[in-house]
Amino acid sequence: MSALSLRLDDKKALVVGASSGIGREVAREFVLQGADVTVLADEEAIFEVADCLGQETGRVIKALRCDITDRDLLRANLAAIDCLDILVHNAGFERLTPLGDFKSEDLFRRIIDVNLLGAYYVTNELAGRLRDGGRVIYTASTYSKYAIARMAAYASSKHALVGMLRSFSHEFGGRRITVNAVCPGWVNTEFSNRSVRQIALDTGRSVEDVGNEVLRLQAMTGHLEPREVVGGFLFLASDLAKDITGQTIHVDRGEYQD
Amino acid sequence: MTDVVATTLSAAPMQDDVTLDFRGQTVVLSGGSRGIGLAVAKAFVRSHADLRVLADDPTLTSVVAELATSAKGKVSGRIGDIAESGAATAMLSDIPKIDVLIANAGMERLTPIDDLSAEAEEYFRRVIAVNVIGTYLTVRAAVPKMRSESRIILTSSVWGKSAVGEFGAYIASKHAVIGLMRSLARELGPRGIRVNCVCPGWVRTEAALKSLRQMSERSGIGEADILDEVLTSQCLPGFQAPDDVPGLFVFLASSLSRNITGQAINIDRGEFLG
Repeated sequence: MSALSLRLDDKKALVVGASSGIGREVAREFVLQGADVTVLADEEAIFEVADCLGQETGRVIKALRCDITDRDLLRANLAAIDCLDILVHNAGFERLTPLGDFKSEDLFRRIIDVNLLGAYYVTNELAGRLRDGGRVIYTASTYSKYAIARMAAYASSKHALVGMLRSFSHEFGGRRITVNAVCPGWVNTEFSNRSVRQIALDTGRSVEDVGNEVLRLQAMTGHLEPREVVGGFLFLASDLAKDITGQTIHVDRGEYQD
Repeated sequence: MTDVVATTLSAAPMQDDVTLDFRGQTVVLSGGSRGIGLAVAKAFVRSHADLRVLADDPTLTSVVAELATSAKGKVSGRIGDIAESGAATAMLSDIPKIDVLIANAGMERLTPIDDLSAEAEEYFRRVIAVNVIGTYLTVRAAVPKMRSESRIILTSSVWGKSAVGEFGAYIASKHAVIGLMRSLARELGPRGIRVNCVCPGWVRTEAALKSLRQMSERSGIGEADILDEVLTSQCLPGFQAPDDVPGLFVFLASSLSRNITGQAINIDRGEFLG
């Protein structure tokens, strides 16, 4: 009997939102596990990420740059992909949108556009090109299940993303394609650190104080690094998870119990 | 989509994780003589763990002998009733350290609320005694042998989150197991011990087939029709086999999940989405 394996040899994977943080680490791990990876982001840095990853692993990593909320541009870029085994949709955007701040309406719309509609557009475009037995994995958030103050747009978008994936899991199930999400907790990324700084500024507290408050919610100590979230994605992409669909897996050191 | 430019990529690949190798690690599994537990036992044998299997079933002796034939690690068994005070402690007394505890032993009985027989009450108490108290006693016996980065996995069920009629005891017990897991995750987290639940859906086991038969007898609906209705409610087609389930146990036991605790994860082909 052979050992259970997490290898992704010969799998074609697309990681959307891979220019930094969690997405970049997921792309890297998938390449190391043998997948043929394409990365996509709305930033020039995506080409550098692909180069770095290519140099490190000796593999060819294709990079696409586009704004996923521009449907025509997205379609043109995704034309480069003929078929796909694993779609990781990680693109997302976090900003505080306090109630009563009338300047944040545009921001609210933009967060919903990128986090929810962007995920819908990408999945919709690629649905017909996903192979039977494939995987769709979204990055949701602990804030897809609960919320703190000033997170209305972000929490709405992530709650909605979970609702959407549950519906998609029915639609894709007949082809044995699973649809799940990883829900990271507080991870040391530019986005979340920016939110913590903003909360500290708005409430007149220290950044350290706000950060510690978040960490105290966890059952286990310590601030997560992007790389430490990757295991959830690799598991869901692997054969081990073939019977898991419509689920959310929290990688948050026990911040939220689901 | 941040404004941070990637110039260096961090750290080494997860090479220690990719093979899911449990060489040199002690895995204790209760309820490992048949069904899902036996499939989990086989998966850990394949992953080279040192395995201690607990069961109340006399066939355990031959099951362990069979497992040992293909094992690279040590495989041993102890027969006893985990619901009895002190039994789990005795069955683990010779093990100095435990890396992974899988408290999987459980029983399923039909317990309709309008059944006023003494037998029904006895079944109800027994299901709670094995599934809840037995799980608690197994964990309590194992924790003193655990250290930072040890893992505890409790087998709950999709019926730990949802319900059908006439299985009050079983469903209450599996909800309780999730509550127990959540409390233990908070309690043991500061020590670096992770605690999670696996929630299987309908799996082709003796226990599930017996329940199906009883549901059919009570409702007058054919077994095939009941099963068909269940499978239609799943997102993915087909009746799960015991061997479809161990992947999630192995993941939760591996260092790949080292930042996951306090979670109850369904492996049910999308029967229950939540």
